[in-house]
Amino acid sequence: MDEALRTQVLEYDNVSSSMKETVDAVVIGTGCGGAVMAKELAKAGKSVLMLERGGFYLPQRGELDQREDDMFARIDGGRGLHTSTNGQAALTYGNCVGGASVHYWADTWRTPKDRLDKWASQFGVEGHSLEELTPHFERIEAALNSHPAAEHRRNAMNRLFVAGAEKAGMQWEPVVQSRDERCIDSGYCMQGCAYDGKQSQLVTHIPEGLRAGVRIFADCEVEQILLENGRAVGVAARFLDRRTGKPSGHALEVRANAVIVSAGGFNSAPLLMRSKIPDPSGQLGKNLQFNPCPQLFGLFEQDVVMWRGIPAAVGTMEYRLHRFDGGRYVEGGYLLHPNQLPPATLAALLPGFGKAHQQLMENAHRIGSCIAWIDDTHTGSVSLDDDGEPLWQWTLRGQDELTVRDALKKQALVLLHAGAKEVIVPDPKGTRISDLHELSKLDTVDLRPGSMMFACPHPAGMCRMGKDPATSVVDANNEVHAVRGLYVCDPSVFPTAVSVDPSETIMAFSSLAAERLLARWT
Amino acid sequence: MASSPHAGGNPLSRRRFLKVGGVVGVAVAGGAWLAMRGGGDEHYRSLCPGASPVVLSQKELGVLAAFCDRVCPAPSATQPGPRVVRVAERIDRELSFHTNTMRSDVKAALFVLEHGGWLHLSTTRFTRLSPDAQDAALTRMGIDGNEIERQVFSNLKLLALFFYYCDERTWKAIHYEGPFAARKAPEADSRVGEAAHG
Repeated sequence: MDEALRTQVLEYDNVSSSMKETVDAVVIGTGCGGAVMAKELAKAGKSVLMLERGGFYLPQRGELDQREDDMFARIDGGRGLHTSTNGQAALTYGNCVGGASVHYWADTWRTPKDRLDKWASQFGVEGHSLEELTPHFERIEAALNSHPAAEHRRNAMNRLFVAGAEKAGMQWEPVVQSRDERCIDSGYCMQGCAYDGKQSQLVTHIPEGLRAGVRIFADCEVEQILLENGRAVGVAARFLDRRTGKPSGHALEVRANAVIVSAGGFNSAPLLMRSKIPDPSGQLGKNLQFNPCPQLFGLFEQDVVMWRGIPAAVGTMEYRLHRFDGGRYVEGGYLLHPNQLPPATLAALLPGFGKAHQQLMENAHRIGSCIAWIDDTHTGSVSLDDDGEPLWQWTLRGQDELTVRDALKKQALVLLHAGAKEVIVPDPKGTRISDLHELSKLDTVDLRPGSMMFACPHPAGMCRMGKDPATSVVDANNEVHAVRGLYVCDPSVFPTAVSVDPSETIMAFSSLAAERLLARWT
Repeated sequence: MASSPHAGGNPLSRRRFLKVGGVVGVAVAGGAWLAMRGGGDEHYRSLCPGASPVVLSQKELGVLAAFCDRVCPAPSATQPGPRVVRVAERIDRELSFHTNTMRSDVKAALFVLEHGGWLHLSTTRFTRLSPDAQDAALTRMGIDGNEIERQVFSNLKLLALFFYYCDERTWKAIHYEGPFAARKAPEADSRVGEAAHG
């Protein structure tokens, strides 16, 4: 990002007093949902102010330094340590200018038609058919340079995945990636790209928005949405001191015609709850789904070094949908991919402790992994603690547990067929599988809270969209049913999880919402 | 976003901890009172000498340091131990950037770790056990323990191992060449000692 654009981003060390602003639109959050909305409104001539709770970090300033701890602290929500109340779900979300796109893997998927049809038929989501969204997908893919990675750029773990899947008789396919020629296959996607090669919001829609006149206040936490006569009229916020994460003592009040909440799938609902937004549906903060991710590890004879190269350049869609026989679950309900974990994160997830764990880590470069994104059917919820901070409740159960076990078996199949000497299960016992005949161990492996942790990177549902105000929080224009002038533009509005990476769906929904908001602007 | 799982975890919610307070409280409170009679600040200060915790108490830091000793690699010619890396102090400082709920959860977890033996009719605190007995206690907690014990063990373990292996001095032993970029410490840096300078 060039120097001139950077000056449009206000950071904590440039705030010396409380402030008041009046704009056409205030956008809370700078991830995929907020960035697209802000850019579209600004290009139509509206004055737009974006507020971001997290900091503003750039490779040009050396701030994307590829250290796991530093980057969790900089770009991830809860500094990478937020979980569900039972510790079973690790909540993966962004907290920086660019949001979760700064740490995402750059895999890019259009919303499957069956999912859009389900949202329309079961939840009354109108005006979001595949035909209506396709022009938005096309624009987004052009802006993000989305295309499958060339074969020669697949790292060892991706090649092992292909070999294992083929031997196991599974389909596999290249996964569309949003990268440009600056990507050097470093493997530090999750830590924020230090080369601007990954096409996150930081290098795409945010600069485009800034060029159109958007301003951004980083280190700025919205406390309340302001309501007058049942209409949203602005926000009350406070600046944070990035050195402590605590309020700096300077406040911000913004008055706006449109208040757009894009704080992310985990945090938009808590903001609405804290602001006491009327919720006649009773659905606000409920219906949380987030693609819980079970993963297995394989110990290979040869080096894998899974922390280098492009993650998830390939995968299989074969099991995306659940399959039933006479109402009984048979298999499927997940995407399957090669995994990528940097060393300290790998260490935190491997089973055992002390000497046994140390011996595993001495072979960390020979450990490969597969990961599955479960298309969850059960839901969680959020509440607020005494300080107004969110508490997310979720427990793996029912059909989702069966789906996890099936996904673990398919991962073990791939790893063993790829040549793993043994498969390492990250359960408390550190179960090992060294033969295809031992897959049945996964039928009884301990999945209770405190036993296996699931990364949960794709939240949806807590401000769900629908036609009926009695059963949904926002309408098909993303406007909150009960409060005019208040919009939610992020994955919170999806009635369920998307079943693929949701970033392109988030952007497309926001692009469509912006188009419709501008058409109705008075 | 498709993104990998990450380390850490809030070991158990304050609400959940209070909910099981009936069980843990009855068993632990009496036992803890008895157990704490025989050892106070001096014992815990000796477990992490010279440290000045910012969120945890001296006792909590001592318990955490004892836990890290068993979970992280022992010091050797090729690998630093958790004392050199100052894992417990690192976690303490990290907590200063988190919510009250997170802090009280970790404090509650350390209490259960130190005094939870009472649930199994053991009168000896974790930090008074021999190393072998500590390993046995951790194995029991992690595999056979109730939900709270499993959460205490697994989430403290996540924190300990994640922050241990974030230290550059541990990378050679695991064949990790490290990042391509130079370190630039974040404004809210929780590293301590030598690690803080990257």
